[in-house]
Amino acid sequence: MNEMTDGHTVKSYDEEMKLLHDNVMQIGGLVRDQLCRAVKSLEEEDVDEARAVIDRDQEVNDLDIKVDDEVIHLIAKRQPLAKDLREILTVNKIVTDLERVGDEARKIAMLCVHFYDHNTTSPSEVIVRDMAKLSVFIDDMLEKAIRAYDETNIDLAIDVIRMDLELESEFRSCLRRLSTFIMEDSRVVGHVVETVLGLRALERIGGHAKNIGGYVIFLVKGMDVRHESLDDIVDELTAEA
Amino acid sequence: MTLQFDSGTDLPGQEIGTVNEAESTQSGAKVSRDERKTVGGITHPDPRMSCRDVNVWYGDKHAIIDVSLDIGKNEVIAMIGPSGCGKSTFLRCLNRMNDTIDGCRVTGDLVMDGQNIYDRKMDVVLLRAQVGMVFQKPNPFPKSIFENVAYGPRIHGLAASKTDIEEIVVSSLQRAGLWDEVKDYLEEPGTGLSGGQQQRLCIARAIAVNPEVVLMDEPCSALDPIATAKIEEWIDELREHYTIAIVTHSMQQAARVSQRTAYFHLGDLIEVGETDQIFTNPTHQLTEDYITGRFG
Repeated sequence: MNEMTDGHTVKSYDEEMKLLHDNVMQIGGLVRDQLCRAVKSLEEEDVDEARAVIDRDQEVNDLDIKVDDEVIHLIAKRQPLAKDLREILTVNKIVTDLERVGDEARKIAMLCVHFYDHNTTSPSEVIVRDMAKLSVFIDDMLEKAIRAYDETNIDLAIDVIRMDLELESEFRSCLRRLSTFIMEDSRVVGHVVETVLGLRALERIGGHAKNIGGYVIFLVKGMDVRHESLDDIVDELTAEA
Repeated sequence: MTLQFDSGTDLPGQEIGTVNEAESTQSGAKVSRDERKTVGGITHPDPRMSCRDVNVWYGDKHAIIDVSLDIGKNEVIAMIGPSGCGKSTFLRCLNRMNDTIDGCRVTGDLVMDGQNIYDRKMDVVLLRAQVGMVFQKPNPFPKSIFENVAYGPRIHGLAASKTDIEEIVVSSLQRAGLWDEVKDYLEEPGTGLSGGQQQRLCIARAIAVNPEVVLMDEPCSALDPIATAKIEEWIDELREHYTIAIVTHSMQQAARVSQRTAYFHLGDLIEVGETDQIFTNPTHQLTEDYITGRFG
């Protein structure tokens, strides 16, 4: 229970809101684990582990549908207003983003299968090295975004949005490094292109974490900060305070 | 028209608690006077009625405390709050309905068209024609449908001939969305209609005297969802002709029909604002707690 979910006169309303909150945390934990396992499978060239990640994506999809059902049920039954309404809308959006994080983790796992199965030539370790490094940063973003929601913590949400700017810069550096491999040996172009797609999947996960940060600001302050720059968001929050 | 005000609803004095103490409790939490100061814009750029520092007592009970609020032309303003918060009392101040309650005392300025409605020279019967009222429980006169609507214009001298009266009755029933259902039964008793039809008959009766303001005190609480939808449709359509102030316990109804919402709590006006803002992101914690069902 937290201030967003408890305190209703009708206690079953509290319980339904808490269930919704808990489900978000469950999906959040699940997709973080999927991401870590997908990247690890790539690092360790573990095709079986990658296939397990791919299969487990269905679990994320099922939870996504379950939360959607709960949201519909809550809106129809409780006709939520104010912070309850914002909480439910926020959950709906966060879960959509988390489900897409799961999809991106699946793509990374599929990359592993593609690289290391079917007796094809495996890519050089240096080509995929950036993915492992970047995934640590991405997981940190994701963890902060989920915690920002759990704790309704605006400072953490701002931090995640700020990290997305760093991520964009790091992503471009990775692309530059990869292009040098093609310049040195054009035969690696196939592996490089697929690695770019893997990096792109990681970069998208960072984007989803940033979205969650924005939803948390909406949840707490009722401000829609999508499509706004970090400076504008900070200015708006400062003015509001 | 005095019959119109014999509402049969609970007298506000019966539901008001003593609230003139420095602090009160709600859900166990102390709420100080400072925390109950009005937030949001009490003014309207084009006010039909202007209320300033309104206080109401029922004997020793201080039911409304320093409430100031404009009611704008052609707006629907919803008044919400828990039972006993003073919203109906405030509504009843707007056409001096509280005059009928023994021991009720009203102070402050309530101005309409430049005149204080509590001025001694104010013609209360005329005021109540200009500021009509629809109650929680439909209260048609024990007369025919036609006579229910014709009574007001006739006693106020609004019609010179029988034809004029008929025109007013037809147009009022049409505006209230009841004409098609009763046009062949105008001589039947109004009390024989369904609850929803009776309420629309009362609305037709109120607008037949061409009021500037229509006050509605929980007009749909005794109606089914279809009858409620028809009343809400009427409110939306007639906003261009009238100013409407509605007291409702239904948050969803307030959100659907009004442009501004005022939240009352223990006799204080806590927050006023655009309805969209009040129901998605209220400023005051008490408003937030009430509309999310955390007390009340």
